Amino acid sequence: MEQSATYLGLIPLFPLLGAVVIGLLHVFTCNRYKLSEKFYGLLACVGPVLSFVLALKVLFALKALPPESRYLTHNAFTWFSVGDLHINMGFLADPLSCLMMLFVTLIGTLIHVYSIGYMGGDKNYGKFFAYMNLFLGSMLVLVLGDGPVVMFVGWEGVGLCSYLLIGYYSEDRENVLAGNKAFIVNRIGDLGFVLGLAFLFWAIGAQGFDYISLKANVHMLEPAIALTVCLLLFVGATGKSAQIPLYVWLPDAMAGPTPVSALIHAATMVTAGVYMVARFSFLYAHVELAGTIIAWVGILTALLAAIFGMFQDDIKKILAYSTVSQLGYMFAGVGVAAYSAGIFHVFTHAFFKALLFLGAGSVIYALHHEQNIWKMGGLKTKMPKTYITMVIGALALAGCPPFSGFFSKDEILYSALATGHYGIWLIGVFVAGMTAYYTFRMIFVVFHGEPRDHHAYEHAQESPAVMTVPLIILAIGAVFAGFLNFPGVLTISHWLEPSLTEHHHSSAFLQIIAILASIAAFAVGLKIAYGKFGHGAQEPEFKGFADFAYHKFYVDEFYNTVIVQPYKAIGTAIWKTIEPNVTDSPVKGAARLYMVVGAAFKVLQVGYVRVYAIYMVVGLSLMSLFLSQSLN
Amino acid sequence: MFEHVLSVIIFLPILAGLLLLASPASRMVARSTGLFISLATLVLSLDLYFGFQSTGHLEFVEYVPWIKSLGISYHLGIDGISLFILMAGSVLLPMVYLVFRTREKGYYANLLIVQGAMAGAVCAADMVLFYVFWEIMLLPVFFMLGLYGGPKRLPATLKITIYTIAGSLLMLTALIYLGVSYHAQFNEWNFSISEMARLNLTGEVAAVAFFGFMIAFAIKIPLFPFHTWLPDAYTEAPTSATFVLSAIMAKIGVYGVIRFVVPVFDETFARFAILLAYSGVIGMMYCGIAAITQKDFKRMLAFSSASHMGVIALGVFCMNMQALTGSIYQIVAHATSTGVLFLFAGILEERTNTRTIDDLGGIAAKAPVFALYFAIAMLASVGLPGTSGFIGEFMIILGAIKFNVVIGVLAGTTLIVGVCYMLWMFQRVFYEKTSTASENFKDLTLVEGLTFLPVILLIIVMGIYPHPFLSKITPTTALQFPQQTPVVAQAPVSNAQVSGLTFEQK
Amino acid sequence: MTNDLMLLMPLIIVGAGAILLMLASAYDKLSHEIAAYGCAGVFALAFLVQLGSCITGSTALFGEVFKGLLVVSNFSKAAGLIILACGFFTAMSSQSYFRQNTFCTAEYYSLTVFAASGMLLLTMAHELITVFIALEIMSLAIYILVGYDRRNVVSSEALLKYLLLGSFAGGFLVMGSALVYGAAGSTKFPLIGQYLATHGFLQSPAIIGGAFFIMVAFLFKAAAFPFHAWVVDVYDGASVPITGYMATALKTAIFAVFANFLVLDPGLHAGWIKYLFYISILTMFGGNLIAIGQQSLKRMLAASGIVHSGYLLIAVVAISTKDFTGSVIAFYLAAYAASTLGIFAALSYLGGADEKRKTFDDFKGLAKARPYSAAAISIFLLSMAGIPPTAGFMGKFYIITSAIDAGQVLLAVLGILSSIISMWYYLRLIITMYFYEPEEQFNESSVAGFAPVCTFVLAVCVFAISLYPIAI
Repeated sequence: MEQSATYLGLIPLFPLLGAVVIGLLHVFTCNRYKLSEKFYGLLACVGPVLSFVLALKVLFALKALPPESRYLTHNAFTWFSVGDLHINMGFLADPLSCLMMLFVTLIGTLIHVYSIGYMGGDKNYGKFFAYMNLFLGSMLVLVLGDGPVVMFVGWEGVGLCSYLLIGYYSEDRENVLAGNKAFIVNRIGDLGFVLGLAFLFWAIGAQGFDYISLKANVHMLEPAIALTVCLLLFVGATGKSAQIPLYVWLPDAMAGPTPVSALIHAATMVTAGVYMVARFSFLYAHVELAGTIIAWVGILTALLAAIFGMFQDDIKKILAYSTVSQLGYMFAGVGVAAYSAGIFHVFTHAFFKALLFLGAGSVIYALHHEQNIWKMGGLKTKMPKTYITMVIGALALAGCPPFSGFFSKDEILYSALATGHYGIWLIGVFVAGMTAYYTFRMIFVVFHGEPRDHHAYEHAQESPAVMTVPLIILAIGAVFAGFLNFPGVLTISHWLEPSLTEHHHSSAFLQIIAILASIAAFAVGLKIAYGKFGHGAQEPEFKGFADFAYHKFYVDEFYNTVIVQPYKAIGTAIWKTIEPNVTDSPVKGAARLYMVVGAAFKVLQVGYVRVYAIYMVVGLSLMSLFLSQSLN
Repeated sequence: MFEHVLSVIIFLPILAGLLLLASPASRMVARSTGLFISLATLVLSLDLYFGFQSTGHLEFVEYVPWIKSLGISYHLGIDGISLFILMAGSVLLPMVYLVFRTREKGYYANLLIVQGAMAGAVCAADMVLFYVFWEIMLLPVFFMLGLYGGPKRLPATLKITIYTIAGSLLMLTALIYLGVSYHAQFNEWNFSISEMARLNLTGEVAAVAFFGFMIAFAIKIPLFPFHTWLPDAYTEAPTSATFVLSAIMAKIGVYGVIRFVVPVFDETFARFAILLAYSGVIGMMYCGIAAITQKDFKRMLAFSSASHMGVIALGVFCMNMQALTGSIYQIVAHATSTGVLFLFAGILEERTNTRTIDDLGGIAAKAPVFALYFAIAMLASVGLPGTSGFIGEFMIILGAIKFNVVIGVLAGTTLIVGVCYMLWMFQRVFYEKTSTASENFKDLTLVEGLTFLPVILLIIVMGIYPHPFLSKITPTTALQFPQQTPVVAQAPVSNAQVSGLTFEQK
Repeated sequence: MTNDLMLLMPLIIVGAGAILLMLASAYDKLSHEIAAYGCAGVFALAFLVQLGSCITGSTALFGEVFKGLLVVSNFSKAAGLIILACGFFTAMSSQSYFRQNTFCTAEYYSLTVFAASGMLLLTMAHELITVFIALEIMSLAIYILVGYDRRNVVSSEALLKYLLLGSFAGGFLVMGSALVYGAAGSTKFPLIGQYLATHGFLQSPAIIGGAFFIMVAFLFKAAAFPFHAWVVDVYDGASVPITGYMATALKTAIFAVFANFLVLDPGLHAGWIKYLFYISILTMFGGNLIAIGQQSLKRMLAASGIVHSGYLLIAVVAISTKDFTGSVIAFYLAAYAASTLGIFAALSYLGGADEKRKTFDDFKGLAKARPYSAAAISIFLLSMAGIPPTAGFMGKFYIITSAIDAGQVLLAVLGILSSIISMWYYLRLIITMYFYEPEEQFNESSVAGFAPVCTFVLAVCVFAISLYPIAI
């Protein structure tokens, strides 16, 4: 049986409408007169709030249903239908999408509120909120889409918004370039995604190309195709969720305003890849190899990013790399077929990472857009609210029990251990330690010790309530979100069961080992950080490996020389050299030949009667020769 | 809905254009006449569109015998394939008169003529008639390019004209060959397109005829490596001519392939399809990569247009329904996106007196509305979901994968290639610091804004709710591919084919 | 008998008209203007009569006149129509031509008519001696007309060339006739046909040789390769209207008789196909290549005339001897005549005093100064180039169709290729007229006359012929 719920369509619609309205208002007014920021701010918050309310409605509707048939669908209209290809613009709300939807709208709303303060005095105030709303709408389409193609709409939509918002301060070439980089790298991923969809369609799509039908027909898939599809889709995920080798865009993406980094590049969009894999759990669960590959890519990304994170000096860059690293964890989770664990980490991460970013934002705001941690210090007395909330966030991120991060990360590491991926587990634990280290390195340097830049320090002050209130709410989330999966009855993994294909393994012994290991890792990391930075420290000189890591192993430079420059060179070569000299040469040659021969024949028209007579005679004799030939 | 609506759509503009040329009308008069006529045509074709039954066969048929002794007739009709190209023309062309308001009489007159001729070529159901319109189509472009083009216009004009005419004359032989072999096989003269599908052609001569058609269309589309006339012509031509060339005329090349080559030469086509598909893909990448290093944004758009045409052509060569439908849909999408981009480029050029990308910058801040429109058109042309560009591209890639995995994967790269040059251009023209050239750039006037609004909306509607459009196309495309079963019947030996053999001996 | 007279009426009218004009021109009261009108009148009258007999007298499909010396078929009628029309337009354009060139006397017009009578005779002739006589009547008149401008060295030179080479050709014709007579014992086409049917073509060398020489003569007059060399210089030397006249009417007559001769017997036709195949190819391409390099408009048109002979030869190759209608040839001739005459008519009033405008560059920017004339000229050029919807396209279309239908695919393709080559020099004139700034004002307001009217009428014809292909 199928439950239809028309209001599903409205959930993405509200923010999208908001985006259109705000956008048009802004476009048509910005050059004439300026609407008040309050007005824009309120208008911007309407959409997210309404969606959040509806999301709660969905939650309760689902709870009302028996677990085995826990899903609501809504077919808005036939999107396109050619031959066997039938795509509906349809929405599906099941426990998984419901969970995603809930925290996306919740955090989205909070960050909108926060932005009202943070973006104060910006000249394109309206534009910013239009983009934000547009993003939220697309994200919800991504989450609610009832099939991969509809998901792809959101998938690209969020990509677009991230492009627009990264390049938001478009006066500056660097920012726009960062935006381009993000969009293009994502497109590379999307190529994989689309190809994956194509293969999937020709294999089993004819009976219907939405998750439910696919899930029903997945058994008809040959292993080879299945593997191809899984990996191609994962390529899409690496693009969107910044995994090796396509992670390079995310650190640059910090060029955007901080709320953007919090919402898009930490809490929601970048986790879309994980969501996608979980969404296709019915597919991935059958392909061991794909899972393993994903897990390894994930954990290696986690390691790499953690290494980079330890040597950054831009507060947002540190958080960015920590995001990449946490995403790595999530993929490790879904890779070892612990989908609920992965999603759970997505969920908790959304809270504490958004919290950290907003906290960082509040610091940056206070210091007039200073982002270098070596120019901060001793701020904990100046801005206590920010300090406390950020510490909470840091503890959660570092995986200190009983903060939310602890539960979700531990869940992942435990699953890795339980499924026998010991290598992954070890690296995971190690990375956990590094996480604790670089997180508290940041905290100590920024808030403790002596102020390094006194002038900035003097003017620093606590941010307004409109910014701190969201911080506090998120902090509460960061503390308690973990308990939602506390072994018991009403756990998230239990809630997610209907929409995921996974089997839980319970081995108290391994549980204990995992927990102890991660606590130990946390403790060690914290200890080292405290030892080095606890009492204030000067900006270190990087050399050797540290310097190498500080320059992120020169990966960007590598890509630039190996891909970007050759690409441009080919382009130049084509239209400067190949086009005129090779492709066009037959045409030119023909023309030249034509003229030459023409000139030659003109000469034959000498104008003497005798010559013409000779032509005749010659022609005549030739013809008669020919005649005699043809006779005998 | 009255009889002969097609004839009116075709000949109203042509006659109006000729009258303008003959009359000593002022620019003002010429422009308003053009506007009026094209709007009238638009109304008629909308009427046509909504009266269209989507049976999959020809509708609104008009049949008047012309040359009885050769079975040539004045035979018009519209089906799902031609309808949309016709609509594209009728919907887009009126904008030109609203945007470019101060051109000479001949400019508008030629536009009218070309509009009518293109409509004719699309509606013609008789090969000779098609050829007639096909050739007429070129003349106005020739004159517009030569009279109102840029400084280096003459070589460009000569190149495009000779190149295209050469192609179409080859096509002429090919279609006469078809007619004659029809006469040989069924011994009655007939040049109607639909009848030709009954032919079964074999041997070298069939292949030759096939290439006769294929080269003509390849030049018009243009398909790699026959595209070399394009960059110069598109760059030198006055904007509206470029617009006509890229938005509609190129599509008629694709249309020709669908109409003549696919049904008539099924075996031969199947034999060469892979080759053609490759040339489509290569063209897409070649031009796409060339586009990124262009200094002149009109030239860049020219390359981008060629690149897209490669994908569209590819869709036809993939020989399955999804791909074909995709390319027909993409034809309209491309007309609305890239075509409109050319118009925007024209506006940019008019207001900044430069076509060099590096001279511009920061226009988004100066002209938000213009930037918004431009962005939407651009996103459509890079195939962002939710715009018209996505649907077609997606289906083409889908079909390509089915046709041949390698081609499919290569075709997929259009997602990346396209976005590279577009963003790079958009950044340097619309973002960054305002340059001296764009210092006092005026935003779109109200009239212009309203002129483009329908198309911009169309782009979005076609992306979000394409079903009604597709449902008009699919019946016809479904007929095009009867599950890929080429009929291999025994052909009565035609003297044309015999002669073909004798010539191999010569 | 009456039927014979009816069929011959146009010829009679023309002949009588010619003599009358000649007599009348003895009186110096008769200004050449009036002579022009008279001449035009004669042609018009004859044309109408011919037309009448085409419409009503279609019962006499194959009327033998004078015991088969002359045969009137639909083909000859069509040819006659074309010739008369050419004559008419030539007279009209001469009328304005001679408003700025001053070597005209009334005889000029009577000679034009004489030439026409010869041509008409040629179209109907079905007997070798008659053919020869007709050919000579025509040629002599034309010789004089070519060299009419005595003071002009170029035209006298042209006259000399034409005379010498032409007599050459005439000689061939006589010789050929003699040989044929020797073998077949008759000079009447039907009897020769019977003889061939019974004995077969390749059996009797005399016939082969004779037919060979006759063909050479025709090819010469038709300006086919390698007997084409004279054309360019002669056309260049002759005065504009005469050039037009030669290019159209003369060619029509020749191709008429050529076709009539070739369809005597399948064997004969088949025997020559191999030649004509190569000759037509060489003619087309040779003509084209000569045309490319030309700077002078007249020379270019002359060369393009050679090319068109090449196309006509394709049609000749493709004619079927069984049911010969000649419709394709007739139609192409009509189409070609319309456009060529049109151009020459235009030139004869745009050419300026003493044809001061010769080369392409002299016509730069004509479109700005004289838009309508430029438009007309472009139409004619497009028609020659075979761009639809002009008559030239239809003509080419029929020729290609007939060629492919006759199995001559290769020939058809080559024909198309040559017309691709010819594109350039036609477009070149259009480009010079339209895409350059005018250097002078083209304002000979004195020269109105009838040539502009002719141009306009012919421009209309170019479309009319293609859209109502009556000949088919």
